[in-house]
Amino acid sequence: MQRYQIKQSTRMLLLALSLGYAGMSQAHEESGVMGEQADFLGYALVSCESPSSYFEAAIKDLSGAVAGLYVNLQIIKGSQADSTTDPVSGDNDFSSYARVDGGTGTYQLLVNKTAAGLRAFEVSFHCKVDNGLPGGEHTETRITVKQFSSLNN
Amino acid sequence: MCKNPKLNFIATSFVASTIALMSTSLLAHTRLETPEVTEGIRVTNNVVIGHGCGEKNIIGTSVVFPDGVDSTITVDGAPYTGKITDFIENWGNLNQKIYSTAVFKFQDEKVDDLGNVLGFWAGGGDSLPHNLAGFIPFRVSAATFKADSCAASVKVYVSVADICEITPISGFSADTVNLWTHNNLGTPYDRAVDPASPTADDGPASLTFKRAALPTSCGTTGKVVEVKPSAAQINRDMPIKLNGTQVWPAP
Repeated sequence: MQRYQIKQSTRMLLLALSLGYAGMSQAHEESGVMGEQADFLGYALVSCESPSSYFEAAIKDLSGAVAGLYVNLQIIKGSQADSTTDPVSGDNDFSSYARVDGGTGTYQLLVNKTAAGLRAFEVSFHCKVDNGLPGGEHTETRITVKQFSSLNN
Repeated sequence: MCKNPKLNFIATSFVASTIALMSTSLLAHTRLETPEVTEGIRVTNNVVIGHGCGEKNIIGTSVVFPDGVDSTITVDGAPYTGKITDFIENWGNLNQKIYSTAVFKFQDEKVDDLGNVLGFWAGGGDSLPHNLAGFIPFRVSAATFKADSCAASVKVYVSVADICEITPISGFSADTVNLWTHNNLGTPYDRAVDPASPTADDGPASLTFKRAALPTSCGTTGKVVEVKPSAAQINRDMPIKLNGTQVWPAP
């Protein structure tokens, strides 16, 4: 029987092909599931690069409606803050956008909920420059997730 | 043998110059093309691989940035017990792999449990000839210094392993991997100490973020901050994994 020697580089190729690749997520959208705890908190820093003039974000509750259980989102930069809540869970609509006109730099983004219970959610977030056109213009946006848990349970 | 003396001279010169180039490339540590970036500016960068393992080609590379979670931080040379975010407020996900098959066919980012990029790897397909340089592209997003910090610069040490042969850790040698890493963390990925310069720790590449402007309250000089990865992070993040399965080092 003839024996073949596989080059190391080919071996890596074969392994890569056999294992496949992770899927790619959409740009400027993040989704997740907030845990049972009422004080579950998602905390991220979003970098808005020049020539950003503001940062906006909205949240969508993907879970079914539960009385008194809503998902919220807050944006903070310096002395400015804004918040939004998805008023109807599971209707496939985002909340209205929260927006802070803080220019370039780092914004704090928080997601949380009003009561105990699992919540699947999606966040849409964008750094933008106000160019006078409806909706503004997207600018470079980079997110760093700092926490996604309850620290008290 | 070439009978034409002129051609013979040219051929000999070509061979001599090739040998000289190879000798030069043997001295080239793997480094970043742009080792200094200014606050607020996004930069397209490259990891520059200077040579192979002797005359063996490079088949892959692994790159790790300190995550700042348990990194060792010094300020003006003195230990600092705070966090890197005390200086760069948006540290944690600044570096992004740029897709390119110019050198290697496969690549991906290394991420933490929250999806933040800690590093990246590239490999497979063709190999990088041992005598040629290879550019592995990535992007550094704009860093933001904390407004009230007096840091004039923050240097992060970037650990790189250029792989010539897939072996287990026990198979690491000058013939199988070039380790551009710290030599004093106590990990299997530590670069060997140079007996000619035993106190030097010049293995890793570095990426320095320069402050755009110091607050006037900080004076004219500002503080020099340096960040090294922890041994725990290197042990966790240096290996290359495909969909959760470790490819290098061989398990």
